Amino acid sequence: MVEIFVKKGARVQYTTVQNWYKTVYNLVTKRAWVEEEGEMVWTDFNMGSKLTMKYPSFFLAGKGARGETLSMAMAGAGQHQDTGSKAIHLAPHTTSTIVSKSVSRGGGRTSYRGLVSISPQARGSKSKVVCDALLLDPESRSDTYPTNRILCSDVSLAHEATVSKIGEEQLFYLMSRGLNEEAASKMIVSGFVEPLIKKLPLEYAIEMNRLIDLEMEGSVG
Amino acid sequence: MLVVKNLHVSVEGKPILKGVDLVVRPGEIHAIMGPNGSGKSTLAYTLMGHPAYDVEKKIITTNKPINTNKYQCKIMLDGKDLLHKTPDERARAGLFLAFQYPVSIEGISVQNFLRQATQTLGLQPKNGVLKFRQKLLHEVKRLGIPEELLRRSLNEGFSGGEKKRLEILQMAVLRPKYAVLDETDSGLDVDALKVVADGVNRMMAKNKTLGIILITHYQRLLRFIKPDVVHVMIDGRIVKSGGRELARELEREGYRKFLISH
Repeated sequence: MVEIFVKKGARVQYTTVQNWYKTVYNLVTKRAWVEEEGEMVWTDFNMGSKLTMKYPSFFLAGKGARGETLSMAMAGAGQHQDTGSKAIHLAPHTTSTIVSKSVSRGGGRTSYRGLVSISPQARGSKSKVVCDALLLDPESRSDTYPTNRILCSDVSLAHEATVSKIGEEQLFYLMSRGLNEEAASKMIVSGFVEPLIKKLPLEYAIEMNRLIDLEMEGSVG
Repeated sequence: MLVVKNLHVSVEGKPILKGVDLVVRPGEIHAIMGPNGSGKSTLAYTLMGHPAYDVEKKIITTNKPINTNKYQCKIMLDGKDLLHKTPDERARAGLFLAFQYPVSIEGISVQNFLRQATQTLGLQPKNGVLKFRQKLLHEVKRLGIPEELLRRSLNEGFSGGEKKRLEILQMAVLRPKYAVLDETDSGLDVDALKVVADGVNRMMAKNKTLGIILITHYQRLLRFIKPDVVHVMIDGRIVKSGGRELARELEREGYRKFLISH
């Protein structure tokens, strides 16, 4: 359980990289209360565990408060990463951004589960949700379960979701330049998560890249 | 020497190449010309080892046992068998394919991609990254590629011309022994065409043993890159081979003559 109170005008970024054993059930509550002109940023990277259910949330309670979640999940054989975020707009002119990227391979499963709730008094609020999923093989699976509860008409809400498969053509292109199949897949995956990795503090970024490489090792039969 | 012998290829069960023979010696430029759907690009992809192209390794035409050796298909590069190799192994053996439609990959910058590819091929100069970068910038300038392109995601949002120039840049940096240029001229205006042709000619001048297969629809490119041999491909076969004059003949009379006689 993580609870954060962001006072007026403050900014908090909370970064988590988890790589639990593949037997662990990882059920976590993370929530933040954000006051006037405050900003909360969750960066949340989930690699390990058998099942993760985690939806970092922010209550945008003060006027002009901002919340952002950058979520990355990777699921391999026997894993289910059920992750997402909750944005609860309680005050006028509040802004939320949720970016979720997931990679499924070897029959692994990822889900995006999200809530955007905009209360009647949250006039002029904005919310943007982007979920991108990458599937490395036909056995893997990805689902999106967005909930949007909008009780105010003066708001802007955007939701985008994409699912892509690692393309035979992309692999062939990279392999024709000398990269073997594993190196080529790694390159495609690291390119896919790069926009999120870029937002991490450097030490974490390096660690994440190494973890992804490790997870991808031997993923190509 | 790049040797292709009795190549039969089908895609999703449909025969496309019906027995192609081709020998490219070091330093030679071969142009393969032919109408749409004649199998030119299939040849390019098959040489590089694309998994969707099924090569018939043995052609049995009758039920009687036959001398399979005679019918066996071959792709050899300097005496090494390529037919049973993956695309990356073929690249490491010295083969390069300039794609007609280069694929884009998000989040991977051109320079990172080139660095990793050259490392994989063992081409990084001994004195390291700085030297590599200098050479890269030099090539970039000569090919008229904006330097900022190196920092962008590979081929993502690139114009047709930028993609084609980038293919030639890769060829210059990866230094293959044999290169297949698959309709590199398509979609280029005359100026871009000249720049690309200059790039190829420079490589030929620098590396006298580089062998090139130019796949093209039009004679246009052959005004700037002079082929030693011109082949006409119709319906999955090379129906005629000759010198440069053959390209001019094609330009004048079109492919119809070959279609009819075939």
